[in-house]
Parts: sequence; structure tokens; C-alpha cells
Amino acid sequence: MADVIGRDSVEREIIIVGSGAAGTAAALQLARLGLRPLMLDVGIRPRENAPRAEGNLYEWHKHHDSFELHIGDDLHGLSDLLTGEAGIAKLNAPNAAFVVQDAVALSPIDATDFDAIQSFAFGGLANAWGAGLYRFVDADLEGFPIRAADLAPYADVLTREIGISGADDDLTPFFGDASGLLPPLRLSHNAAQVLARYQRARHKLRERGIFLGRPRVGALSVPYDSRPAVDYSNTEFWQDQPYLYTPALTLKKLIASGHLDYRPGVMVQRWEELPDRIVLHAIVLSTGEPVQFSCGAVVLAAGAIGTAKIVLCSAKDYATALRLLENPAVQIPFVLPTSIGRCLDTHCFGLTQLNLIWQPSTYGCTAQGSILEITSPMRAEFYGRFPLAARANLTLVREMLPAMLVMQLFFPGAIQPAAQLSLLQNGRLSIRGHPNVLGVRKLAPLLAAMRSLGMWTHALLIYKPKTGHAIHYAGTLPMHESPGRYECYPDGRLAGSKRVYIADSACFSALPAKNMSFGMMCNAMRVAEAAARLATECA
Amino acid sequence: MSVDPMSAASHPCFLCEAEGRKIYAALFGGEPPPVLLARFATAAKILNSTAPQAEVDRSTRALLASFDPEALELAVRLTRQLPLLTRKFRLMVYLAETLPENQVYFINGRSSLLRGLINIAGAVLRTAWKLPLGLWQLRRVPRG
Repeated sequence: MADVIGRDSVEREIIIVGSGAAGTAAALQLARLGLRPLMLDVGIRPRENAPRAEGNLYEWHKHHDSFELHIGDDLHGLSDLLTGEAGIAKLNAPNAAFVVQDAVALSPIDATDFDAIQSFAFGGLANAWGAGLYRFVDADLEGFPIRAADLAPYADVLTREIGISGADDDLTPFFGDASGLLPPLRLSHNAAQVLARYQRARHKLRERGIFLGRPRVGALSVPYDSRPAVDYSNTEFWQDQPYLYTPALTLKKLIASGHLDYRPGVMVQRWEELPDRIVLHAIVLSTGEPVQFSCGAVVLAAGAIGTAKIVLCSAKDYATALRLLENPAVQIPFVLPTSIGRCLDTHCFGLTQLNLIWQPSTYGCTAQGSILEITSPMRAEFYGRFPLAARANLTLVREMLPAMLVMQLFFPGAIQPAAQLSLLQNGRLSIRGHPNVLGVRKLAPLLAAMRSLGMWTHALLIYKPKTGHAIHYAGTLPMHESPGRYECYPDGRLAGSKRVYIADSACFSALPAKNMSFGMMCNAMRVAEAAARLATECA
Repeated sequence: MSVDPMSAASHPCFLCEAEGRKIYAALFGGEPPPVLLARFATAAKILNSTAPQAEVDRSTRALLASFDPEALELAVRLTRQLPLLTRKFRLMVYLAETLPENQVYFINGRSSLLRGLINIAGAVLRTAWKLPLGLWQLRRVPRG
């Protein structure tokens, strides 16, 4: 096909819209097939000369004012406090500000009971992810028209591309094939204590539907692919690190090697499907000028919300409300009494230490928990959560925090009534959600089991994040064997279209409790391959 | 969701530095470093701009008149009054933590279960003493 067909019109075999985890995985697969797709993206980049802590966060902080790193001249790190609204702690890091920069202006949403987080950054929301990367097994794909075996080949490729640390342990039946994993990361003192206790009591706990093990995380336990291993510096909250994978790494590699034509500063708004091609209508953000791109097939990967908006805009449909799924979640702080008064573990990995699978009879589903160290966030983050007098709270910060772990527990999307997403006449999105439905009382069996592992908490300490704060959005354009309007075929092609493929979590038929990023990336590769088949046939 | 400090510059707050001194002394004792005080004043102006003027005035008056700001803050927090005052205490904690010399207030450098338990017990007793003191001070703060 011709490359340029007009002053502001470009023609390609395949165009990918969006550079997040799904778009990146799609680009990777197309490159492996020998294609050179065009990727259209807003592509906001991190600021240059961003402040960094050199080496270990706490050692560095002994001699350096951390104001720029922790808070920033624009006070971004104080956003939650200054606005009085609970946000996402990791997104409050000044160096992560670019991840959500301009999102509200670029895609305004009128929302009730749903706090939608969007990203227009180069590499998407995954710039601030926890890098938990788990294969989907058949149980996770209940309701999907595909099986885990359909994703397995892509999972193998991605495992090699990313470098995933993990172990073959009690969680393998839930996390899938452990081959190709790097050795697990070193555990913190507290996490090691918990895992040792689990090993002693595992038979009883397994009978109660509780399984504990190592996470599968995109952080290198050993040097890999010219990248260094984790340095246990506690900096993961505050700055990007070469040992922590984000899709931006793959994107940069594909662009540098000439396998991807990346066009930033462009926001795709809708498409128009012609008999022999599809035309994308977009805006050049710097000038506001319209621009068109023509291709044989388009792979939409703008996120479950962004992709749904493009689809509704293309249909000029202001009446339909699409289903939007999200994982309901709770955050449970635990204290290990034997660690009270300990010196803070200042040399550990600041993200997920352990994973937990819970199959509760009270909910009739499988929940997945991530047990995190809290050494990376500011200590001040926790000061305000203690109930004592101000100086007494500072005492708790010193004496209690080194004894604490936090569990983020995710439930399947089916537990929560789905939100409704629709397009308004003024171009804004409307999302009508529901408050987090999880009942703390139903967690009682889990809390009892955790006590047997030396982890104590109280129901009053359990925090239910707002709906939307799990940032696991899916299911707006679900896959079905026989799809209807605003649904996809099993290969990701949107029903009613010949050339539009949905590569992100919009095409999920359901939303398992498991962190979906890796499964979504595998599926995006599969969908991109189907799009490539169509595009090359047309060419 | 970042905040533009300049948007609050038009809200004069001559008392912010005085508040900062009082809060710092309540939390850590002594005088705050000038750089910390300046940062607090900038951020406190923004906090003030998000609250009703009546609350700003009452909060400032109560804090500056208080002989035990820590006790007062505990009382307003537990009685859900003057949330602005509590937010200013939290603000000072965030800002103070960024200074290397304040790490000793946030990080436990030595391991001792016994010392930890004693310190926590002391913190609970301190709170038990501060609460009635704070409630008494709060009663003396004029409303409106």
C-alpha cells in the first residue's frame, strides 16, 4: 500500500491506537510477524531531568532533601491532602505525574460512584503499575470464548521479553506454567516470616481455601537482557528503574529497531469503514488540526474506557450504555506483633512480596491478594491513618510500621454490579457506577486464617477503595462466540466491522480477580495476529 | 491531579508561618528550618483556599491561642471538627519528612521488641492524657 495518500492522510497496513500494555504487546507481535505498524498515541512523556534518588532510598535520604522526589515543586505529591480526596498513592509521586497528565482534559468523564483513572502517557498506565504478571488459566477465562491454551504461546514469548521473577509453588495451579521464570526475588523480613509460617501450616490453610506463594513480577532477580537486577533500594514508588519492566521499555526497543512507526501527539476520535480500507479521524493535539490515517486493519488499544469511547463516537451512538467491569478490592493492613520495634527493613523490594489465593465459601469465587511491604511510600502516608495524638502517631510510625504488611485483595468483577458507560452529546463520557459492595464481615474467615500466620488486623482498619481505584477496567466490548452489537468475535474483531480489532481489556468477556495485565497482553498479541492476517490478505 | 500553588497566592495568609511554627513545635519540638516553614506556608495557603473562610479563621484562631496544639488537634480530629487543622498537621508531617535531619522522627534505627512495646504503651498513655486536655481547649474556642 502507498505510504502517503495526501497532505494529512497516511495509509498503512495496520494501525495501533494506544501505547499501553495492550498496544505494546500488539506491536511486539506484529513486529515478530515482520510487519511495521503505525502506532497513534497522545504519548505524554516523563519530564526530563526528573529528580532521582541514587542508590538506596533511605541511605540517599540521609544526606539529601527529598522534597522534589517525594512532593515536587508543584506539590503534586500532596494532591490527596490538598484536595481532600483519596487518590492512588503511586500516582501521587511527582515522577508519575505524567502518567495521568491532561487525562481529565483530553477525555472528560461525568462519573457517579466510579473514579475512572485514564492515561495518555507513552506506555500508558503501566508506567505506574505493580508489574504483577500472571498467566490466565482456564478458571480465569470462564465466560470467554477462548481457553488458556490459546494464550500460552504468547505468554511464553512475553515471559522471555519481560523477564518475570517467580517460583513454582502452591500458587502454580492458579498462576499457570512456571517455566521460563527467573528466580524469585528476595523476601523482606516480615514476608519471609509469613511464608515460613505458611509452610508449617499449609495443609490446614489449603483445606480452608487459602494458598500462599511467591508473586510473578516483572522485576529482575538476576541481570537479564542487558538490564540489571533489583537492587532492593525501596525506590519503586518514586522513579522508574531498569530492573522493573514497563511496556515503555519494549516500545523504545521497537521504535529504535525500526519495527514500529510511532506517531505521538495524535488523538484518534473515530473511524469510518470503507469497502477496501478503514479511515481513522484524529486530531493533532499541538495544532488542533484534523488528520486522517488509512489502513487495512486497526487494532484499538486505548484502554477499556478509551476504546469504548472511540467505538461509540464512530457509531455516533449517544443512547447505548456499555457494561464496564472493575475488580472490587479491599486493602487490609496487618501487624506482625513479633516485629514491633524492629529496625525498618530499608533494603527490600518495595512492591509485592507474596501473593495469596482465597477461595471463600462466603463469596463463592476466587479472590487474589497481593501482600506488600510498605517501605517505599512516605512514612507520612501512614501517620494520618493512626488514631492517637500527633506525637503518639509518630511513635507508631517508628515502632509499628516496620511490623506491618498491607494486603490488596481483589475480587472478580462479577461480584460488583457493572458500571454503565455511555457517550454524551457533548462528547464527554458518562460512567454510572456503584459503591464498592464488598462486606468486611465476609472477610472474617480470611482474617482468622491470617492470624494463624502471625498477621493481625482489625475490621475497623480495613479500607475499601472507591470503585475505579483498582484500575482494572474491562468488558465494554466483550468477546462472544456469536457476538451482537458492541461485542467482539473470539479473534477480537468487532462485530459489524470488517477491519476493527479490539486488543485491550475492552474485549474481556469477564473480569477475573487475577491482575489482568499479562493476560491482556497475551490476548493483544493474539488479536494483533488476527488483524495482521486480514491486513496482509487485503494487501 | 496536581495543584497549582500560584492559584492560592491570591489568598493572603499572613498567619501561615505562625501556624507552621506552632504545629512543628507540637510535633517535633523546637523551631522549624526556614525552608520547611516556607514550604508549609505555600501549601497551607492552598489548604486554606479549599475550606470555608469561617473554618480557616476559627482553625487559625484556635491553633494560635492553644497552649497545647497537639491536644487540640486530637480533640478536633476525634470530634470531627475543624478538619482543616488536622490536615495542616498532616501537611507538616509530609513536609518535615523530606528533610534529612528529621529522619530520626520517622525511622526506627534500632531493633528492640521491649522498647517498641514500651514506646507504644507510652503513646497510648500520652493520647489518654491529651484527649481531655484537648476537649477542654476546644470548648474555649469561640464558634463562628
